[in-house]
Amino acid sequence: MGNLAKLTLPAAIGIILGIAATVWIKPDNTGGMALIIAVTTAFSIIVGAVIKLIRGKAETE
Amino acid sequence: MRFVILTIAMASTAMSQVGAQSLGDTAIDPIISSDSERMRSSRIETQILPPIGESRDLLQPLAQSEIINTAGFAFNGFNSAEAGAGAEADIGTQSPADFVLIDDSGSPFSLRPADLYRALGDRVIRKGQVIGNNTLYWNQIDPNLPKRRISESIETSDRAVSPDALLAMVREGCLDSGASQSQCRKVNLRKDSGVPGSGDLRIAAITTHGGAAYSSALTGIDTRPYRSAPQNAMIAAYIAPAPAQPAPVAAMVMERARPLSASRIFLGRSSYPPAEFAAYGILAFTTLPAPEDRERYIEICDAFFAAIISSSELEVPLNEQMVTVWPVDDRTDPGLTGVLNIARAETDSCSIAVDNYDIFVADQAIRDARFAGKSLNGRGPFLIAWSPGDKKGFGQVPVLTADLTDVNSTADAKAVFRVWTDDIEKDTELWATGFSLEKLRLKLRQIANRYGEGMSKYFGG
Repeated sequence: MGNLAKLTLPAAIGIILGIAATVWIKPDNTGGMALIIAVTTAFSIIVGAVIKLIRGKAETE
Repeated sequence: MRFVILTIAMASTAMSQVGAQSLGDTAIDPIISSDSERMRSSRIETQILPPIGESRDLLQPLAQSEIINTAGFAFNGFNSAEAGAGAEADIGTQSPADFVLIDDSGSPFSLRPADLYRALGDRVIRKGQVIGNNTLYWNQIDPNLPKRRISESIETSDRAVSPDALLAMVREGCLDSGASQSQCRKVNLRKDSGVPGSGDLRIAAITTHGGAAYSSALTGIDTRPYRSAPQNAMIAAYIAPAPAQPAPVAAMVMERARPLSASRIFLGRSSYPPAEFAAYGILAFTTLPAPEDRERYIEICDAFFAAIISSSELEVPLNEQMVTVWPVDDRTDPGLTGVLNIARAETDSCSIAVDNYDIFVADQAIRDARFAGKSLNGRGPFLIAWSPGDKKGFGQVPVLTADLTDVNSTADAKAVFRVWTDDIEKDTELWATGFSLEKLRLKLRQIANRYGEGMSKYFGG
């Protein structure tokens, strides 16, 4: 649960981005909407992790 | 390779009597004004050049010296000292000037304000729609004009015709083109890569001011000594009509003054290439329909009917149409295309079109596109257009393609056809870039629909 909580911010950003992308792309089915939101959320989490990693490295140096 | 625009001042050109007589041996028929009152006037009032709209037709190639005689000036490269303080031709504050485009051979081409607007305006208003001006060549303005880049005619200099004056002409041309005043007020000079920024524009110009001649910004035209026009001399130069030059078909295609209009047609095998059209594209399926995907073919056909206007319905001459062809194998029924070329699809129209689809023509089109460097993978169908149309089958020619691989419904197909018609009506030079947000959106939508449906099925949706 602790690790999940750390994902809150990037996941929230990803979901918001996904909703925005859904509005723009206008997929025909709910599966498409879910796919877009899942992809943007995953993308956001990955980017967040990379940023965190880079910042963590910089702080240790 | 000099290529300049010059302004013949105030739609009239001062010229000496001697100069006029010397024209007797040339193709130019001078018309001398003998009105002494008007000759004394410091402001030239006589409309001398042929009326707007007719002037270009009355032009024929001239030697440079003839042009010089006509104008009563000799261009000394550019002699700023002789040009004097009035070298800056402020056409915006005087009566309309006439712009003349001179090509390498010295052939003058009269330009109307509307031509300048379409060449130098930053936007073009067509049917009330404002679109960015991406015209690159003069012959896109008018096929009779030389095929030269507009930017070659305009160079940077501190001795330019004032941008304000030029802008005034461009806006006048906008009004001439039928746009409203409010729309034309928003037109500015282009600042894109095709034309240097308006602050740097240089239009070679000749003008008269109080009877004295000034020339400006002409370089590389002639090195003859500068000769002023006699005081208050007025002259009209009527240039004899040039014999009509048939435009080569290849040059005509896709490089026209008026943008091409997209249309559709069902075409039999013996009708290729459809030479009466400016250019053509093909909706190319990779295979004939099988029972399991026949419905998809029919849906795409329905969209073809609905999204693109029939060639016969379009109120545009055929040679201004970029037609998208649905190939039909009419060898057994020559009247088939007549049945299909109707405004709206009837109940069986698409069944007939799909059942008689000409896979041979489609396959050839796909091969030709691949030969031209396009990567066409997937189940298709593909929309393929060539520029020019008669270059189909050649390598390294501009080819526009659209992929309908992910299209599964009439709505999807309509969206692709809509983007397709937008694309093919663009300047072919922009085909290569190919990217637009709308295309990206459409592609993402197709992907989301395709994999989203599978995903929802996987989760039991």
